[in-house]
Amino acid sequence: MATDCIVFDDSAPAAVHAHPVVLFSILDHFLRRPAGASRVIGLLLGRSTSAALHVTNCIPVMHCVRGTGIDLDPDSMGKMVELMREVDSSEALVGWYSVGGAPAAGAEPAPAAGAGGQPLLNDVAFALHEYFSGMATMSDCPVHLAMDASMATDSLPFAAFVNLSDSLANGGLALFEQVPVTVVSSEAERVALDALAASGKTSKGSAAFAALSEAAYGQRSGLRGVTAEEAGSVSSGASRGTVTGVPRDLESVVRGVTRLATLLEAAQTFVDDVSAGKRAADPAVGASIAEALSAVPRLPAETVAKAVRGGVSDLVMTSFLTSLTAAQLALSERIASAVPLA
Amino acid sequence: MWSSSSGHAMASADLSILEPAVDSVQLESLALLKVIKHCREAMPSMATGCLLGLNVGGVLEVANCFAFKRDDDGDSSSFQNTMMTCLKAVGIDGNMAGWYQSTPFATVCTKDLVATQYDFQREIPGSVVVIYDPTAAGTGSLALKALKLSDAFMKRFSTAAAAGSDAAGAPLLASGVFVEVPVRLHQNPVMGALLADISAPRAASAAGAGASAAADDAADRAADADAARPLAGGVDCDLDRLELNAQAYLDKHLRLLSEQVEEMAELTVSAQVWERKEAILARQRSEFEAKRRVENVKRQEKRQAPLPMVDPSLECFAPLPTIARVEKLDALLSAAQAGVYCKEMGHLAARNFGKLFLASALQAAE
Repeated sequence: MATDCIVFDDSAPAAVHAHPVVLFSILDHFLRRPAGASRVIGLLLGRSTSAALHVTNCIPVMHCVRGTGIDLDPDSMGKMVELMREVDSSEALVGWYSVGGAPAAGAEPAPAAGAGGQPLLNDVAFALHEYFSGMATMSDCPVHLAMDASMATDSLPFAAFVNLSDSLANGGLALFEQVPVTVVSSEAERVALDALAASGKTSKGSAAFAALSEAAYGQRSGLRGVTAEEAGSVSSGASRGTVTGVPRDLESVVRGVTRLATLLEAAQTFVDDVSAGKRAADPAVGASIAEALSAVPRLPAETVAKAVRGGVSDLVMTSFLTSLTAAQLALSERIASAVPLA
Repeated sequence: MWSSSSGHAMASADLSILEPAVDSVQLESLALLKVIKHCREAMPSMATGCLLGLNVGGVLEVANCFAFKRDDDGDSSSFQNTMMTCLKAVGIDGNMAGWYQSTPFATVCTKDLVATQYDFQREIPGSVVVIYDPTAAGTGSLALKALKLSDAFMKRFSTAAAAGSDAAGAPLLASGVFVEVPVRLHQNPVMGALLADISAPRAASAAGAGASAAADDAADRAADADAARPLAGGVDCDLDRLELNAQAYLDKHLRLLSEQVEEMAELTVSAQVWERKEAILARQRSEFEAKRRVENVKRQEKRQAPLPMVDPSLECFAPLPTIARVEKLDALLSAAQAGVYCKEMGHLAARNFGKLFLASALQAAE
């Protein structure tokens, strides 16, 4: 029926690639929501490629639910869209987002049972999707990115939807279809996220999550199987957030080597266990190990030593040159300051 | 959270005069990601933007930022004001705390950058410039620095601008143009949860779907020059940092350094030419004055009015053309930049020495 027309509808994106900056932005928007609000919404910007829709940017939008209606400010929304286009004209409006899940003021906390804390879609979403689809600059098939930030479970679930209803055929019924979302990042972003992740490695798993939801909402909703003191120890650190410095050069080399050693050790333990019969062999792991081993070129020691020597002498030369330049600079600076120009 | 941050904004607006000097910059994870996104997408051209934040007891807390327009056609201040008003309406409040710029290979001592930062610091004394080098990501390093102009530099050039000359005050060393402010990264706990969530490996829960997704990704990567990779495998780039081949970076740095030294040499030569010319003129002036003095003594004996000691019609009393004169700022910045390159090379060399010796030790142990 309706699904038949979906398959041939080429305007709908097959997959959504969300960039981390978008997820961070929408969550930040949620954390800065006005007092009493339980949901924030905004517009998504991005680029469409043949394989997927890249969501790269977003614009927070102020909204207000009054009874059954929703108040929006189209003027300031339009202004913001215009400003974003001035910055980067290659990003187009591709959809909208909503982040919900904060317990409404006075209401009972959402029950932690079930897969997600709250359903990602609700009636408001349908109405808003209708509205945003009607925007002049919106793409033909807008995507709705919904995130549940209630932290009732050990995750922050999010999903993307498109409305595939043909308003003529279905008599205006909305039919939301879920589109797979992948979080993708560039090399540069990965480097930054790695630095941030390194700061958070002390907090662990569900204990961290429970403490976080407590820090965020001041309630013990998703505490499952976590001792109070364990959660408390995380929350005392977590409520302030974590602070790290920018990783330094040599430190990062040390970290890299330590990590390499751990990985090698893990691989070796696995191989030893399998050969001793303690663990079942896994062909996939075996293939990966073989692949990794074959990637290492077998070079004669002479060649390696020569390459290292070459590299070291290059470095020695450049260090010498730069030190010489630095010394010259310091000298000329001292002379110039001691004997000022006429 | 929202209400407490707006409370901060009000408090700091009242006490803005009493703000302590900024001694460190605390960059929120969102602001960091936004800076990186903008700088990377704008490559190879330069990206600039505005940092929003507050000075809390000497720590400049940068919570958010926005990009400036690419082609700056004069009405940038109205763009900034509209943007800040719009952001304030959705709860992103914060004072202008400085700005950021993408600077490949640590080329920071340009006249433009110094001039912009000078203006910023005169308007907002605690403001900093955050420089980010998108090219360094290839080796897995986060090249992020916050700089401000030193007080000595600010004082020197504000008095110089007022007096119309740049020759006043104590000598300023090239190494004292910029002060580096330590940058720290701050992560809100909820953001940390998000990061942990999106970077967690998903293969275990959806082993079957993983293979097809990987195939899709491969196709997508081929079609997409953007080289974006799925994050689900983790954000770990410890191993990227073990890349041994630093030839390209060394090459580029050496070339930049030698260009800089060449520029300095040119400036020195023109300074010397100017100095020599000035010395000749000074000699001519003193000769003229000596002659005049003798003449005036004679005229006094004859009870005639003395002649003036300065004759503007002579060449030696005319001011030297400004083109012949080396701008002190140019020379200073040029020297400062050469210094920065030297330092960068030092870091690069130190890192690679470590890796090379490690590699050879491993080889020997085998």
